[in-house]
Amino acid sequence: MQKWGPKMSLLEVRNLYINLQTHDNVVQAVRGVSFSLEPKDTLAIVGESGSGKSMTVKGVMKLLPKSGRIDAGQVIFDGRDITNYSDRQMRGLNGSEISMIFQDPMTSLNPTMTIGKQIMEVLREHEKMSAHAMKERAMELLGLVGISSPEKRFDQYPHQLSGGMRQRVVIAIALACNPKVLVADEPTTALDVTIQAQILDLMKSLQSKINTSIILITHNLGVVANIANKVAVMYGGQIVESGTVDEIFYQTQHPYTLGLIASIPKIHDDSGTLKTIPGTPPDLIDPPKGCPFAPRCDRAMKVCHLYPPTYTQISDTHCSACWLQHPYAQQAAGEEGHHE
Amino acid sequence: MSEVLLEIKNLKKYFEVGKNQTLKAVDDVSFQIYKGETLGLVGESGCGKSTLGRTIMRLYHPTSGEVLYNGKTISGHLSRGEEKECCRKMQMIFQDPYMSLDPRMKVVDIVAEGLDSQNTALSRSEREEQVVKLLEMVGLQKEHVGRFPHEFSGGQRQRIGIARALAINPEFIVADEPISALDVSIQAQVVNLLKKLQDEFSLTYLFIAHDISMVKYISNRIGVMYLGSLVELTSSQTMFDNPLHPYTQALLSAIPLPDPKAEKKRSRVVLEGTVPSPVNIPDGCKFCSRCRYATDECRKTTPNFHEVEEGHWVACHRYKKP
Repeated sequence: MQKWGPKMSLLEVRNLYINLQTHDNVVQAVRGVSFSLEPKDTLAIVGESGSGKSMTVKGVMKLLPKSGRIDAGQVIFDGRDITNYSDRQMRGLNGSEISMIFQDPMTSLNPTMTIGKQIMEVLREHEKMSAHAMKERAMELLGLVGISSPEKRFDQYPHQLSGGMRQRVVIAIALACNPKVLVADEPTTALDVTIQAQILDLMKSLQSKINTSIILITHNLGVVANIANKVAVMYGGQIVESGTVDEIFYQTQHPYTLGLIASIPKIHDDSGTLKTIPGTPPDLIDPPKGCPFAPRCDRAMKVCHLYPPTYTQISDTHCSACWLQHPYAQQAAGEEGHHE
Repeated sequence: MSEVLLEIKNLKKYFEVGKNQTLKAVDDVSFQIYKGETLGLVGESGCGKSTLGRTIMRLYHPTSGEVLYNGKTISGHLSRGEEKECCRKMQMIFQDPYMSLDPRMKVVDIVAEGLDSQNTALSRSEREEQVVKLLEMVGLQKEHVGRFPHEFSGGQRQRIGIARALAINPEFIVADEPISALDVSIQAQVVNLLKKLQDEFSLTYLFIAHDISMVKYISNRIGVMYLGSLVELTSSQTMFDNPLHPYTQALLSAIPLPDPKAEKKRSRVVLEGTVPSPVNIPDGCKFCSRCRYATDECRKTTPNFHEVEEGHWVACHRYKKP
């Protein structure tokens, strides 16, 4: 469906379906998501809460909650199909080849272990190293993520560090074994803007240093514009539009993406009222039959409520799931003349 | 516009946090809020902006200083009648719409709580009628009156919170991060609602937030706080066109813009380090440890918060009184 280069991708997700079993219902959290990641890519997955962006990467990383399971689809990492990997097999990958950074640095570190030990824990699991070499590597990593006086910090506990510092430590742990893919789930949401800017700069400089691909999950389009080169916009458990960052921001196709961009106030522009998307996101226990965005879309047609839209390829890298972009829609618009 | 509604004079709120340790959450803040305007208050977490809002609302007793409402002191001890009068005029909207609504109360009771406490002696049907009117005003429906908070989404809950605040026709509303717990597309809905209600009822807002672009959109004037002090206060246009305080400059340049081309070209003032602990702050300018322009004077004396040009207040030694 999406072709981002002729070669084999580093990570490929094909038609992923994830269901969550709740008390008496099934939540269809992810409904047919496909994307691929090339080396050195920074792919941003954008969407509101409940759009399935976190579940998608948790499915890839095999970190789904107990109630969740992959119903269909494939995850191919570096030529290996890891969809049905056992926990034990995944442990060989997690941390060494795919790493994850979580949203809240306060809770993703162990409060009873020193910073240094927590970094060395990853190295002990995945690398054959002497204790001395491990310590040296841990110090080097602390320096790499911009923590001053690593010797002092090495023996400190997480509570002695500020939020930004903790997130740097989390990044150091994630990068300890030079992973091929780094998954960052809202890495800056819990941080202040000035600290966010520091962390984003750090992630960019580290990416160029160690050639990691990044999957960034966020709801902040400013962060996307800052760091990503590819974007996938998710809504109602599906990718509704994907493309390069310029295509998403400047040649926006899908009405949801348009609405999302229009609902952020622009700093250097004072044009009256803010555009809003009316209504609320769909309930994924009983998702709409047609396009998930149709009930909120001001350009929705009859077909949108009845049939889920197919992906239309706008360019090699850009595609959108909207009936408006369907070749027949363009044709019909041409025949009927200009209505707008 | 120039009529002063609320005046804050040298307001201080200190918390004792252990032996000989004082957390200066709000430290000598003075400013005025004009009738009908929206004053935005921004700053990083821990800078005291919420404490300031809550102290103005009388949820905290100030350590020293005064809050004047229409020229009358409302901080400190008030008689019962005065206090009730005060509550009628000032209301608050809270950050977390999940925690600020009692899960065991029906919407009708939540919204009418203010009406009940002001004992406006309404009959049951009048009371419900009032609530329905309020709900419709904030974009909810009549059917919602009998429901419980858990049946609503975050955006809808925030609307209930707004309806509750409006129930007794207040003049002044403190909105403490009313949108930060909401999704982007819902944020815009709530902000537009707040703006619409302001026009309808000529409300005055103190809008506390950390998302500066949203604050700019809703506010007439913006105040920037750092470690318990106001460092800059001016109209929102000037704040973005000509920020004077080095902290404001850094804060503005740290916001990532939703525009990839502009992002690539932009040069940033990246602040080193993090906000120091607000416990036992040394003398001098509070920002000097992270400031690019810091001099010896900054480390010794605390800069005054003064007006450098009309309506533009700054606390920085670089801008002296003419």
